Amino acid sequence: MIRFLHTADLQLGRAFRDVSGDRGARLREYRLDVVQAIGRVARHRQAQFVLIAGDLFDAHTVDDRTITTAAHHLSAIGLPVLVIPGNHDPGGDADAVFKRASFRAACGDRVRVLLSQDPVPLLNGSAVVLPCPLLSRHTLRDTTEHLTNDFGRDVVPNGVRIGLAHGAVIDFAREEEGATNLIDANRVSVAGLDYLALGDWHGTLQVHDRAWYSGTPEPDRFKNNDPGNVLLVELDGSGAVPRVEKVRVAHTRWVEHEATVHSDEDVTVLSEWVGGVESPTNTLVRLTLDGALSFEGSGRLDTLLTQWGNLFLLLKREGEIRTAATAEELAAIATAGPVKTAADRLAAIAGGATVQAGDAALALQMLHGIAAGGVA
Amino acid sequence: MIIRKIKIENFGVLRGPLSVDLGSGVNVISGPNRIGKSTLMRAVHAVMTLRSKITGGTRERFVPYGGGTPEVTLVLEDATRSLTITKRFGGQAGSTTLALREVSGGFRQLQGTEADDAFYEIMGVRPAGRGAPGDELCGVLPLIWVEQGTSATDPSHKINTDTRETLRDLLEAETGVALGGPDAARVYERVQGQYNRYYTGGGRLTLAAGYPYADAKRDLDKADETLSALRVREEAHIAALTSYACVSGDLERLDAEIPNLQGVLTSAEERVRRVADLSSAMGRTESALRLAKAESNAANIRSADRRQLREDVRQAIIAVSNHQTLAERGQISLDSHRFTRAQFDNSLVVARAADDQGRAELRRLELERDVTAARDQLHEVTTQLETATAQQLAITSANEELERLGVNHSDVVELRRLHSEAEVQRAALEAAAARVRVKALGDVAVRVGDEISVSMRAGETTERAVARATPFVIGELAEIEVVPGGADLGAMDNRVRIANASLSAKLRKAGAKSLADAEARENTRGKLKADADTAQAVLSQVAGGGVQALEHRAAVARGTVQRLEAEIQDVGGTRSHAISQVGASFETRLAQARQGVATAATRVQDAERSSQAHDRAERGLDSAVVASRSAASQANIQLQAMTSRLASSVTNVGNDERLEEVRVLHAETSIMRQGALDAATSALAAENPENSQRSHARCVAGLAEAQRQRAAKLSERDRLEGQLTSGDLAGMHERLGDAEAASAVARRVLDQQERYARALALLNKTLVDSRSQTQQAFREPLMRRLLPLLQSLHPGTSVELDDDFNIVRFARPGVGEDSFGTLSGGESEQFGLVVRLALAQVLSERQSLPVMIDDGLVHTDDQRMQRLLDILASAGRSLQLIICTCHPERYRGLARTEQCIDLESSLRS
Repeated sequence: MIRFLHTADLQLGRAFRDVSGDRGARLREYRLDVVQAIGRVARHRQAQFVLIAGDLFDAHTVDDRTITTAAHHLSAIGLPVLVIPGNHDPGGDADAVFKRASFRAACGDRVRVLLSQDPVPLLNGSAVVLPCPLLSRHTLRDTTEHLTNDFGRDVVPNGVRIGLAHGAVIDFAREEEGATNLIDANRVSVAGLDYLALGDWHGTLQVHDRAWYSGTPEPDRFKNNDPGNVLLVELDGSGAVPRVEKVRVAHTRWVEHEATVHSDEDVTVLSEWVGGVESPTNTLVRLTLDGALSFEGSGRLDTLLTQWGNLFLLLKREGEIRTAATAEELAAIATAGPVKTAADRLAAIAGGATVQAGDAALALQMLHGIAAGGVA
Repeated sequence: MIIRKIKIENFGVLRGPLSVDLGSGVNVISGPNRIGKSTLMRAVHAVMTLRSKITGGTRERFVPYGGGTPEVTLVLEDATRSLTITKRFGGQAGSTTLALREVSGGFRQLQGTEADDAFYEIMGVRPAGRGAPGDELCGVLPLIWVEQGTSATDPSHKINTDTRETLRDLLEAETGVALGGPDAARVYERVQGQYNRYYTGGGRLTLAAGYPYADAKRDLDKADETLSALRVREEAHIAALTSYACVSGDLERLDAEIPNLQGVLTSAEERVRRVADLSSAMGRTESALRLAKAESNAANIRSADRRQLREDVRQAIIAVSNHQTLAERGQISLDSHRFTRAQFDNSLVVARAADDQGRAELRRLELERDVTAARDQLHEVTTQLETATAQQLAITSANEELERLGVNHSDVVELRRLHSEAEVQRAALEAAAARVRVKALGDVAVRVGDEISVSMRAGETTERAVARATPFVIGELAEIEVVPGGADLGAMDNRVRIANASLSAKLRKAGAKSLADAEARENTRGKLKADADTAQAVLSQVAGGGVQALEHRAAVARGTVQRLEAEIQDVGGTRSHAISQVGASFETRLAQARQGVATAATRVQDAERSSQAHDRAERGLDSAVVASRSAASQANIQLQAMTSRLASSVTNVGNDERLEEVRVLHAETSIMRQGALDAATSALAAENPENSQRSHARCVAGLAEAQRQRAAKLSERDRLEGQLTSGDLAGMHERLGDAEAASAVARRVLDQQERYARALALLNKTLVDSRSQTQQAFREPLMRRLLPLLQSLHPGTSVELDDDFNIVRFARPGVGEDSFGTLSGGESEQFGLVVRLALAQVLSERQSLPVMIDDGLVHTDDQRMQRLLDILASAGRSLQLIICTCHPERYRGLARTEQCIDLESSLRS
């Protein structure tokens, strides 16, 4: 039996546009840490080798510390690690990350970056990996098109045949005009593959009874397509149906939540939801809010949002909570005189549908704060 | 509350006692300077504002010169009460007495400090600690109390806090509008403070450092700058990547192309070599062919030479034979020809003799004809000479006669003119002269003048023209002197005499007796002249060249005759022989002689030509013989030479058969080599050498270009590799991501700041508008009172007050806007008074106090004064006005009589 780990799309060194400063650095660190997690799984589940189906790195220009750390972690797995370049780290570029001295110096002998289509025999000829590396960022050719039923049998005539490729299966991209890096899912049958390890799709996905996308082991976007896994693949021999097991290795969770708030009770419900989020400091939340709150409720929510923003690895707010002053809040500004007149006028604008409504609501809130003795 | 009575004693210059009664409305207190008007006002003011126990300088100023205790009593009243207050400013011994009487019947009397405090409360004045109270403690009094010399000051400066609050309370009560009080002011202040953190005074977002919007914008600019620099680097990196891919692709293409080009070049080189080999072989074949052809040509030439030589020998033999035959035949002909030569000589002699004979006869006949003609000509010339001589004599005679006549035509013309002149003068004299007619009664001798005597018979009559005094002597009887009376008769007579003298002189000169004589001579001259002309014409006709020429011609003719006669003798005739007339027979003879001469000459010529032809034929025959002999000799020499050459040729190159064999052999060799050359040419043409060279050159150039491009691409790829692997690219990915995140954060912050700033601007504007509108409504009662007064004073004038009732500006048509400080002195006291009256009217709703004016209108002109009097009269309907003046006439008619107080009179009374 052959057992190996299949992963892809680690995109080490990836920068997150919405996450700045230390948190962005933490996110990048988690992506490096996940390599160690993969190594632990591999050793724990007694995998014989590891396949990385492209996009190990996010770009050629990632910093040397990321490269060195990644190469060190890969080498530390202690198993053969076969890597093909993907569209984020194509192997043909002059500045290809795999050509960097920092990578070559740290990856050792067990980590092999496959820049050619030459079959790679493994396990004393009981298996052969048929790599389909991407040498340029985009290609209009099917990178697996060289895989025929005879391909590689001169090297390993009867071993398990494992394809290793990076790109979108044609069914995915059928709707996309001018799509590149396409792969024919039927290649599995044509080429007589026992397993086709695919990269590029960031969620774990089976596209054929012998073809899988492992997805990225560390999620990187608010898209609920089952990322964060590596695949443990077992093959009893050539022609046997592979057994594939998803093993979660991710550090972070990317969560989307929508809420409508019109009252303190709604704010309380939202607060309870936040309280129920597991491992919030490693969770990134996209919170879409709608509704309207009084000055007091809005202030309370703002306070909570500030707290949650400090709690979560990322709190990305979308939508808008309108402020709607209560009669008491309006009265608290002024009961008579020009200040009250101004407050009434601002309230009228805020309640309307003009472009100034938002500004008027904020102005009213500021007036409320000033009248209450605070600052705007 | 109005002041009804003022009593003063020992107060300043008013030692008193003085009692002044006042009424509601306008009161005018007048008096000269230093009578005590201002002192009166100060006394009233002291009662209203000072405690009676005041001490120090304030009190000392009240004490009159010479001592005494100042004492002032006021009686005041309003609709509900009246009060009398008396203050004796006696220092620590001072006293206050206040009596209050309600209309409802109540009465209260207070003393001392209690009275002071009660009165203060009524007056709205707060007690001072020590000394005189300032304006801030005196309620509305500073506003309505216009001391001397202060009327031109801004009245709003006299509104203290109490008055301001009172005004606000009153206006709020009247309008129902609330300004919000201190809370609202605090809100304004804080909003303004926040607004000022974002906006400049001009309403633009402030970009100065330290302000929140500016800081956010600067942060964003900085983040964007960093991001932009990284993006530029990233774009350069991507561009370099793209270029690298292109260059790599080009290199791959070139690497694939160059071996192909090298293969093509190898083929081209082989083809070129093949062409070179063919060319070389063809050259050799061409050389061999040329050699073979040369040898063949030489053999042909030799054969031809042999044939030609044999033919030449044969022809030479024939020529020698022919020339010899001709020489023999020529000699025979020459001999025969020479034999016939004598016959031609005889014929020539006979012909020449006949010719000589004919020519002599013809000459004789021609001489006879010529001498006859010469004789005729001599005779004609002689005749003409005789005629000419006669005419010559006639001309000479006529000329001599003409010379004798003397008068010519011009003389006659001149004489005619002079005669005509004398006649004219004479006629004029006669016309002017006296005419004397004498009739003889008997015979009598009459002498006229000294010269003329006339014998007259009885009955005869004579008439004389008398131009000058002329005596008429009648016989012995009488002498009558006739004196003509004409003035010019003397001159006329003189002119007659001159004309006659001129005529006579001319006649003498011409040799004529008279004009008629002259005219007759002229006629004779004409006839003689005609005769001479006729003789001359005849002479000219006969001897155009003159008589001498005729004589010369006659001599020549005689010589000719003599010469011809001599020639006749020479040809056998006689000198006298001559024909008398050249007739037809003579001409026939002459023609026949001429014909005979011509015939003889022809015969001579024919004989000569025949002899010459014979001689030429002989010479020809002789030459032909010589030539034939010479040609035969030459031909024989040539024949010998040819024979020798032929023998030598046979010896050297063989006989004719051998020559033919060699010729055929070389011809076949040439044909064979020509075939080889044609084959090589075809093969070379098939290779197309030019195309091969061009193709080869193209291949070389193409390969060189491809290699050059490859070298350039390699260099470019190396450069791009260096660029793409430069150290600064490492980590750029993360830095770019961080920069984008930082930019996004800065953008969000700036967006928040902008939204905050917009909200703040909206809040500020809304507040300012609300406040402005509220204040406008709030001040409406005051403006309602003030504006009519201003309109009365200066039509069209408006005024703007701020929240504290300060005068911000006046606006007047045609003048523009003014602050109070820029008004003239007159305008200041006028506008100040109007504003005070309006404020006093508002304040009177709560507490009506008299408006005191001490000489407040000193700068106002008469026109404005009248308007102010109307304004004061109007104000007096709701306010008590107490006006002190030293110019009562300016206020005349303003107050009722009983309210016009002459202070001086009051003091006296």
